Amino acid sequence: MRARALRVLLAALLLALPLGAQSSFERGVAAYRAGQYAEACAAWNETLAEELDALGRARVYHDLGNAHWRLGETLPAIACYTAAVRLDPRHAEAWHNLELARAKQGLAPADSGDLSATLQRLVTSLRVPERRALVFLGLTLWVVVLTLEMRFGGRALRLALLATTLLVPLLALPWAHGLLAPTRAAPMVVVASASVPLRAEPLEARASVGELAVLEEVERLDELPGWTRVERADGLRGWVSTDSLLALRL
Amino acid sequence: MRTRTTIAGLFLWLALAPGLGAAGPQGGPKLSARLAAGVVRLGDTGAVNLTVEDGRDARVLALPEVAGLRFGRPSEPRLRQSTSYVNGRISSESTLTIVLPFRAEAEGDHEIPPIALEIDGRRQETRALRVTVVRDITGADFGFVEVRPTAQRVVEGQPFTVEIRFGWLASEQVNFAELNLPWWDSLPGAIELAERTIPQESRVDGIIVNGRLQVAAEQLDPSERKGRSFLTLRLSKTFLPTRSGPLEFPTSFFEFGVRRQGLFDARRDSHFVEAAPFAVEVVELPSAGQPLDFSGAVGALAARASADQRDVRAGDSIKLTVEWTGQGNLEFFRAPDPGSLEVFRGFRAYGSTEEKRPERRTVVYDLAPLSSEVETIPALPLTVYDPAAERYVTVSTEPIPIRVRPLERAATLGDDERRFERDIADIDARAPAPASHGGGPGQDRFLATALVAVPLLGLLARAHVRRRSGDPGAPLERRRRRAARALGRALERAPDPVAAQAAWLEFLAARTREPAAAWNGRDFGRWAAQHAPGLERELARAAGALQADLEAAVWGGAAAPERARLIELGRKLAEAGL
Repeated sequence: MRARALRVLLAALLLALPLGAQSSFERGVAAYRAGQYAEACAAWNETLAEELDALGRARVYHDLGNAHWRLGETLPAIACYTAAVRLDPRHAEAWHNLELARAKQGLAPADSGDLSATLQRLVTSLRVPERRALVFLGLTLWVVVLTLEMRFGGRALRLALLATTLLVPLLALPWAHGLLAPTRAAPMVVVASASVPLRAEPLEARASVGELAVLEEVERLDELPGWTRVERADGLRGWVSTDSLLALRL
Repeated sequence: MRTRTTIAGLFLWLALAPGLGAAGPQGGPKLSARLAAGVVRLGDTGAVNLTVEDGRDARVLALPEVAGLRFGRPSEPRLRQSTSYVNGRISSESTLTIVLPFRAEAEGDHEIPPIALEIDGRRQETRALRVTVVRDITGADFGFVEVRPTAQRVVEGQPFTVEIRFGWLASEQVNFAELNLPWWDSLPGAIELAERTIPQESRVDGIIVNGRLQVAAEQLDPSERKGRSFLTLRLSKTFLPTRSGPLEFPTSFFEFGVRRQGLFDARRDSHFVEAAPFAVEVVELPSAGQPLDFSGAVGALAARASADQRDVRAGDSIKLTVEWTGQGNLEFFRAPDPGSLEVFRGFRAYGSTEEKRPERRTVVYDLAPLSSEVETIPALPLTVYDPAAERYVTVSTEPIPIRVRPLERAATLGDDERRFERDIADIDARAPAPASHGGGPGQDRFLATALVAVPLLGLLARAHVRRRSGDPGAPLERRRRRAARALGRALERAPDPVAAQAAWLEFLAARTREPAAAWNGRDFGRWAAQHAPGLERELARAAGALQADLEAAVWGGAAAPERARLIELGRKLAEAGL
C-alpha cells in the first residue's frame, strides 16, 4: 500500500515538473512571442539575476533589449544591446540591433568604422576563454621554438625565437586589455531621455553637483527608495533618481 | 608810310596771335550768368547760360535748389576763342559757356540763388537770377493730361497701376507730343512690373517721354470736354510697392504742338498742360491673423486646377495644373507645395514647373497617387491677403475626382515604404547555461604568472645550456650532430675498406669535434679512458676492436667489417654521448 502511494506521488511529481520548472527565461520568451513585452522584460530581468555564463547572459541582454525596443524604450534597449556586445563581442544580432537603435535615437554609431574603432573591435572581439587560450597558445609556441633553438641553434631558429617573443605580447594583448579595463562592481546606465542632475543629497530641492549624460555608465554605491547614489568615471559622486538608471549585471 | 606800318602790324599779329591768345588779358576769369528767357511757361524748359571769360576750365559745383524749378544736368563747357585787331592793337579773348537747363514745375516768380562754379581751380559764384513761370492759359483749351493711380492706398506687395490719359483737340494740328513724367524712370520703394501689350490696331507710336524715350500709347475713343472732341491716348505703368510709406508722384506735364523744321533751325509751337502731383499710401501687411503658411500673395485672386489624367494606376504621374488669376502680385508669391500638405498625404509630389505672367501664374505639379484608396486630388489652398476685405483669405482650387487602379501583382508604394523599414533581429530563444565555477580570476593569475615565469625560466635555461655546450648552431656542433647520418651515407658509397675506414674516422672526429687526421693510428680504448671516462667499457672495447678490424682490412687484406656493424656501433657511441 505504501509502495503504491509512493509510485502515485512520484508520477504526480513527474507530471508537474515541466510546468513548475519553466524557467524565467522561457517565460520571457513566451511572453515576448505573445506580444507581452513588459512581462518579457520582467521575466528576463529575473533570469539576469541568476548566475549565468557570459555568452548566455549576452543572449538574455539581447532579448531584453528587443523587449525594450518593442515597448518603444530605445535608450534601455541601447543599454541592453551594449551589455550584450560587451559580454559577447561577436554577437552579430546584438551589434545589428545596437546600431539600429542608436541610429533611431540619433546617436553616432557604436562602431564608427575608423582605424581606432576597428583596432578596438579587433582587440575586444574575443571572448574571455578565447583570450586566455590565445595567451596559452602563445606561451606554448614560444617554449617549443625556444627548445628547438636551444637544441639546434642556427640563424633561422634564432629569428623564429625572436618573432615568437614578439608575438606573445601581441597574442596576450586582448587578454591584458580585458584584464586591465576598468570594471565596475555594480554598473548602471543612464537611460533618461536627457541629461539628469547629480545631486549632493537625495532631494529634488538640492542643487545639482554635476550632470549625467544620456547613456553614461556609472557605478552604483548606495540606494534609497527612489534614489541611487552613483559615482561617475571622473570620481564625482551624487544621488540621482533611480528611474533614470538601468542596472547592468555583467 | 601809314599803309606800310599797318601791313607790318598785321604780319606781327599773325606771328604772335597764338601766343597772345594763350597768355590772355590781365585781370583773371570773369563769370556771368543770364537766363535764356526771363519768362517760362509752366512745364516748359528754360536754361541758365553761364559764361566764363578768359577761363581755361570751369565746372558747376552744385545745382541750385529752387522750389518749382527742376534743374537738369549742366552741359559740358563749350570754348569759344576770338582775336581782334583794332586800331593797330591786337586783342584776344576766350569764352567758356555752360548751359544749365531747368523745367518749370510751378507758377510764380522764382529766384535762382547764386550758382557756384570752380574756374581754373578757384571758386566763383554768379549773381542771383529771377525767373517768372506762367501758366500756358491756352494749353488747357487745346489739350489735357490726367495721371491717376488705380488705388490711393495699397498694402506692401499689392500691385497698382498709374494711368496717364492725355490728348488734344481733335481739330488741332499736332505733330509732336511729349510727356514729362519725373516718376517714370524710377520710383523709389516700388518695382516696375511688366506692362501688358497694346493692341496693334490702337497703338500710337512716337510719344516722347522725358525727352529721351519714345513709347507707344493706346488710342482710346475720342472724349468730349467742354463740348469739344478730344483725341485721347493712354499710357499706363504698374508698380509693386516694396516698403510701406507714401510713394510720391510729382507734377507731370504734357507738351504738344507743331514742330517745323527750317533750313537751319527747328521751330515748335507748342502748348503745355500739367497734371497735379499725388501720392499713393503704402501700408504694411497686417501681422494680426497672418497664417503661418502665408506665402506673400496679395490681391484679389482666383484659383483653378485641372489634371491631365483622371484614371490612373497607383504610382502613375498626374500633371496637376493650377492657375491663379486676378489683380495681385501673381509673379511674386511662393506657390504652395503639396508635399508639405497633410491633405496630399496620399500622393507623392515629384516637383513642379512654373510660368509667371502679369495676369496669370501657372504651376504644373507632378503628383503620383500612392494607393488605390485615393479618390480625389484635394483642393490646393493658397493664403492671400485681400486688400479690399482687409483680411487674409484662403483661395483654393476645386477637388478633382480621380480613379486610381491598384498595381497588378504589386503592393502600393506606401506599403513598399513600410516593407523596407529596417527592424531589429529576433530574440535568441536558446536558454542560457548556468555559470561554471572555477577558473575566472584564478586562471588569469596563473596566466599572468606564466607570462612572466615561462620566458624568464626559458631564457635562463638557454643561457645555461649555451654556457655548458656552446652554440648548437656552430659548424663543429652541427657536424657532430650529423655524424651518425653522415657515417651511414658515407658507408653506402664506400667501395672498399679504405673508404669505410675513412668514414669511420670522420665519424669519430666529428663526434669529438676534432679533425679527421687526429684519429689516424689513435687507440680508441686508451683515448676513451682519458677523455671519455663515462663511456661504457664494453662499448669502448667494441669500438677499439672495430678500429683494429678496419686497419687489418686496409693493410692486411682481411675482410672488411660489415656496414651494419659500423652503423650500429656509431649510433650507440652517439647515444652514449661520445
